[in-house]
Amino acid sequence: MSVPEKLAAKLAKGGVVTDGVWRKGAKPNVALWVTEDHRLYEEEIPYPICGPDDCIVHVRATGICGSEIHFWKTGRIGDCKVTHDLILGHESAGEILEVGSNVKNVVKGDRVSIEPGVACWECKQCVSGRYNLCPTVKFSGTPPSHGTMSRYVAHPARYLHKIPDTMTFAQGALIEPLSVAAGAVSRASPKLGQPVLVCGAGPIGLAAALCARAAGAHPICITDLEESRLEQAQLLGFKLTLKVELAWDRFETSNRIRDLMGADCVPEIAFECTGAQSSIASAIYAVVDGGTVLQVGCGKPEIELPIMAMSFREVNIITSFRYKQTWPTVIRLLNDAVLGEADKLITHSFPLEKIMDAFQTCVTKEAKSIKVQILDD
Amino acid sequence: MVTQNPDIYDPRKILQHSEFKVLSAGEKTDSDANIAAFYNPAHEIHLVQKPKPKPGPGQVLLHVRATGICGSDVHFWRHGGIGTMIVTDECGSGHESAGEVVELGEGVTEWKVGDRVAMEVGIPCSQPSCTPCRTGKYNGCPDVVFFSTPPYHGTLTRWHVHPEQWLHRLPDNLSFEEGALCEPLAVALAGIDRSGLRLGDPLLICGAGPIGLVSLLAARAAGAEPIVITDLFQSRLDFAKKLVPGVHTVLVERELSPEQQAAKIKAVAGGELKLSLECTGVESSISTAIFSVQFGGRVFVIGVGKSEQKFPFMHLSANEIDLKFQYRYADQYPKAIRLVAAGLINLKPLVTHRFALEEAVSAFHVAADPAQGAIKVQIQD
Repeated sequence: MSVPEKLAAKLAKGGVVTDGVWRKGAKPNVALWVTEDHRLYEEEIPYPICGPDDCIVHVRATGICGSEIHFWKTGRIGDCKVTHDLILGHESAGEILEVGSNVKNVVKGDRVSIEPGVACWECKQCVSGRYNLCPTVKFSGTPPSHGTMSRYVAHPARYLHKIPDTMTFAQGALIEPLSVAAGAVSRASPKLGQPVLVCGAGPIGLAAALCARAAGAHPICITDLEESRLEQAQLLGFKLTLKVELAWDRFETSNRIRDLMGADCVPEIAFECTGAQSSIASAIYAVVDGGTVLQVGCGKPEIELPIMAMSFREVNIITSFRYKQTWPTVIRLLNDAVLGEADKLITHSFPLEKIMDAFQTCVTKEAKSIKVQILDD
Repeated sequence: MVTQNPDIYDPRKILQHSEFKVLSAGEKTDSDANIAAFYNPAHEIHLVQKPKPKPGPGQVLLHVRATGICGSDVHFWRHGGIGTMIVTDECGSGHESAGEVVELGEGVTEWKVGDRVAMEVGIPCSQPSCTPCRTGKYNGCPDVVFFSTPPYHGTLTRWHVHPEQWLHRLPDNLSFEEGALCEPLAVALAGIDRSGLRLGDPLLICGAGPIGLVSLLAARAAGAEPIVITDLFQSRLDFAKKLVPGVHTVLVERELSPEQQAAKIKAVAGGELKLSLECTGVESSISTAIFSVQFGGRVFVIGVGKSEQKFPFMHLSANEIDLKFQYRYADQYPKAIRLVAAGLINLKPLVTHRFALEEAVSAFHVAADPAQGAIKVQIQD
């Protein structure tokens, strides 16, 4: 059987090479696609070809990210636009079925977490160690590159990280969002005993709070617009939470944050995990003079900032984009329980056959989801 | 001299006071007598009786309720000096203290009688003309009055006058015992602050004495992982494992070279070590730490030791390893209290022996004898 031309073309646009032969795996290689005009659909793709530096992974768990919802509903994040049908997915873990001829770091049967950003290793950024900034990175599930939301995927072996036997695939699929948080936290370096603010109690805010707490930051205050998200934070052991009202201005919000944390504990770092202009402004006013706002959250391409308020008090904004060198450390921290009960971030799980339901759950407010995952046996 | 502190706390005023007397062994005293444990240049340790002081302006009188014995106290007693700090006369011991406010001096508004406090005993000059004080590094003040560093008398006593600004309120859920332990914790926290320890960093701690153990508790709270700890004594390693079950222990073998020791440590760590907190001050241990860390790693020395030491220069150079030091602490007490009160650091298991103030001499002998297996010996009144 051969690969239909249309499908081959669709796959090629996203960097998946076919040779015309329709290979089959043990089960159909179902994949989840998004279109330029905001539709999601499932379509089977051929079993992947294993290049000499790649491995074939049976994807056993994948988390859904807010960015995927955004690509679906709006078709773009900043300058990154969906211009052709795209297979989504970048938070995955699975089992190696096949290794390429050059591969030395893993073998068939190894259980791995997938690092989705495949960098070039030749550009200035890569060579200096900041491969998260590689301008030609192929990032799974981000236009133009196809992602990991298929049953079987080929991925470069150097981006596959072994997970211990004690770690489930669901946990392995958490390493990516935890890496975003760990990467952000390492850019701000919260210290033992340092008071810290986390704006936003979504999956990234909660993950950032877990990492900050693991670093010994204390006290940690978490804010959100939604009570249900703060309840989730409370379940994770974060007692200092503040429900922000949209009616409050930045002064009211920052004062309430400082009151809650106490006069001796003005936050020195704010992990801004919402991307919302009002929250960023509040964070700027809430942090101590000389403090840092660590911008993780993604939002509108352009916002207004109270720059003179920042200048007069030497408040800095440091941005964080994705992660570098985090997988081995985060795997170790998660496995050794240093990150607490990070599993609790997973609120819903669906089998691969129900992937459309999984996406619907993400956009259904009543479901109160934090991290929704797709699992395949 | 730009502050009055050296004059206010001049030890000669006590030593030359008519009520000052060295007590003989077993000599009985009243229950509110101002007794204290002193040592002298002849390496004698004994109780003395001092006059009960009155708080001056900006000072409070404290009833000292708990004081831990530090290795430096033992060292001043037995060896008469550390570095350039030499015992030249009778000198009071003790600097790890917590107590209760019993009387206020003129102009004191911060405290009231009954307040429970941890005592920060390094009193800097705080003058604008002093660069360390002016730039936030008051631990470097050359005119500091540090109670228990000769010649200034320490806080291992019953009644002690202290500047009101250098006391830290103890929350209700912290005992005096824990308040007194905030001093060694402040040492560890200052070291961790400047060591650059980060979440997920693989860490080696050299030495499982009180400073090594407090550093272990703090490093675990800061998310170091994995953590390897070394010591000459298995009993101390066992204690470390009880404190922090996930720690990996390595017994130091005297016959092994530092390179060989380092190879063992690296094998136990299962990977490269980024940082070492060196809590012994011993030359061979520092060398071991240097050989244990990765290219670009850091050895951070909290421990105090011999004045002159040798180090593996070429290994440091060829591996871009930093060798960094910590001296006392600055601005660590509020954080120490906060971390203990919130339960991030549990100091309670560290006190292994408790003595009444009248038994302070026995306490010192226990602290000085490794066979007794003491971790932190405290005097409690």
